[in-house]
Amino acid sequence: MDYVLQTNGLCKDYRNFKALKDLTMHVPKGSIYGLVGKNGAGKTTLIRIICGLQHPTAGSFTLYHASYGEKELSLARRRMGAVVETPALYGNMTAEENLRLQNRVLGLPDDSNVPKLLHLVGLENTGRKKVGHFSLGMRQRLGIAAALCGSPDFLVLDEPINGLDPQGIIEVRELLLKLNREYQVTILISSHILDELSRLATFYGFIDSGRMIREISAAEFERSGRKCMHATVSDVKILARVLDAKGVEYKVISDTSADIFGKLNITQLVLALEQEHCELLEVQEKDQSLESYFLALVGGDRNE
Amino acid sequence: MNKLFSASLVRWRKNWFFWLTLFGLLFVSVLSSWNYSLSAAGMAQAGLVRTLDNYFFSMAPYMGALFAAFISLFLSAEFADGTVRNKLIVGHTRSHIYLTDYLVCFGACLAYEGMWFLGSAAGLLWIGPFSMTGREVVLYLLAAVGFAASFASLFVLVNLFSGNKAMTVILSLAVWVGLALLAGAVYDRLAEPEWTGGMYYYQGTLQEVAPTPNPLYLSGTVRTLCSWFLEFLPTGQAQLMRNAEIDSPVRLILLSILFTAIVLWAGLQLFQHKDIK
Repeated sequence: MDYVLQTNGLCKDYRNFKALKDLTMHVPKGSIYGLVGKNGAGKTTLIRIICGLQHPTAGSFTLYHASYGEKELSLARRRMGAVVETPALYGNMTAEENLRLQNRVLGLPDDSNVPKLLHLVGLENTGRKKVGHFSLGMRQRLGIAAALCGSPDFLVLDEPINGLDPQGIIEVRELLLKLNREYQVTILISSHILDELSRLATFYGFIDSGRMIREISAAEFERSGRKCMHATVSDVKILARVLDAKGVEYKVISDTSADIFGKLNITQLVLALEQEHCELLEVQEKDQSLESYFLALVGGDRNE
Repeated sequence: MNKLFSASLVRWRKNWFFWLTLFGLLFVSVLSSWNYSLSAAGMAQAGLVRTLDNYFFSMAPYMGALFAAFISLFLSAEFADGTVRNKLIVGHTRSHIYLTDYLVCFGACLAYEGMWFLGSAAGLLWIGPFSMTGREVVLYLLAAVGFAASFASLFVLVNLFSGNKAMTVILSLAVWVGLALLAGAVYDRLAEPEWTGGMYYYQGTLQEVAPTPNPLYLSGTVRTLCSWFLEFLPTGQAQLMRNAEIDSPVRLILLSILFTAIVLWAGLQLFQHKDIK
């Protein structure tokens, strides 16, 4: 697999705090890579290092096969665009002026892309309004437009849907999907809104306490996060014995409940439990969400 | 670096504070020349000849405050609003970004000095010509360019210390005030006479006091070091320029180059290792 970005044992220390600990990740070309983690897990630090805003304490990374510290990395960075945390814009300029300025920074010969980009992010009618008077959602969208000025192959977005209203979230989602599908832009996106991320991402990286705890493709996640039955019984040990006998995969949740994976004939299960003097009290079908998968991985409280 | 320069020039062109202060400076400078011409005329009536030399550079000590205000407001947007990130992300090197910021700010300082000199040149009409030679005037003007370069390097460096716009402005002005006070103190100490004494009026009679050595007078190596230190500080240079007291404009220019080089190097080192939020 061809990777746009690979990190190898990245570490970042802030005085006594270790923000990243030996973090290794792989962003496949053409993917939408969702970076999932709690507050303070190290997502933004990782993105800042990738974007050249901060230096790693140890480890390295390669961007389009250019390694950290090599001269070629500057050239590779010209293929990327990013919005890190809050959009970086000049508040005393209009949306159009901001994009024209970013074109200058990129050294583009003309500003013919500006109307198209403003239309793409739905800001074509902002006229002479200064960015300082924009709502957070408008600023987010303009930030994405600025990141797209150089027609990047790799887009890095840190919490891009923060502060957006539901309509704005849908628009940004459609925009990102369009960029990925029609223009083959690889996207690295971190977001707290896991439900929204699950609608976009084709790969996930789960990060906790500065460590990458799992990387998984959306297809693998779908397979591993298959539907299951949540069964409540009078004695989970008997249920486990019955399921073992039937060769069915399960996971014990508590003394009285378990998640059962795969197809199962309920009548046969009830009869088998009846023979062992165990009652089936309740059965619910449930999907494993990205959120529950993440919580199962990090084993923490719901604080996202 | 050309791309960064082009982008910064666009921002500079759109900066209302710059244009407001630039033309404000022209107005103040012309007004000041007219005011000095009245003063010179008054002095002439009392038999004291004052030439343009005594007035032309009188605004020098205040230029630092203007440079501090403009540079801190212009550059703090880069860090406070985070727009420097847009440059780093697309592969511009930190040294190029820093040097571009410096050059643009130095350019703005030169523009301010141009307006200051333009306004002061009105004194040619009202006060008369310089008593300095043409070469001396040119050297003084170059010395002014030198302290603009020093001030620009200093305030670009100060900009790195805070990510808050208001704090950066306050910090820059505080640095200017601090250096102006330091230069003033060194200047005053160097201006102490070697001997004290003379005539004074006491109980209706004039009394003569035998001259005694002034304990505050600096001599020898200490005096030389203090003189050089005063000439090294941009605020000291401005102080000397105001009173047309520069011993060696060439030395002053060389010290400006040294100051600028040291501060630029320090700023580049700091920026290279700075974590950008």
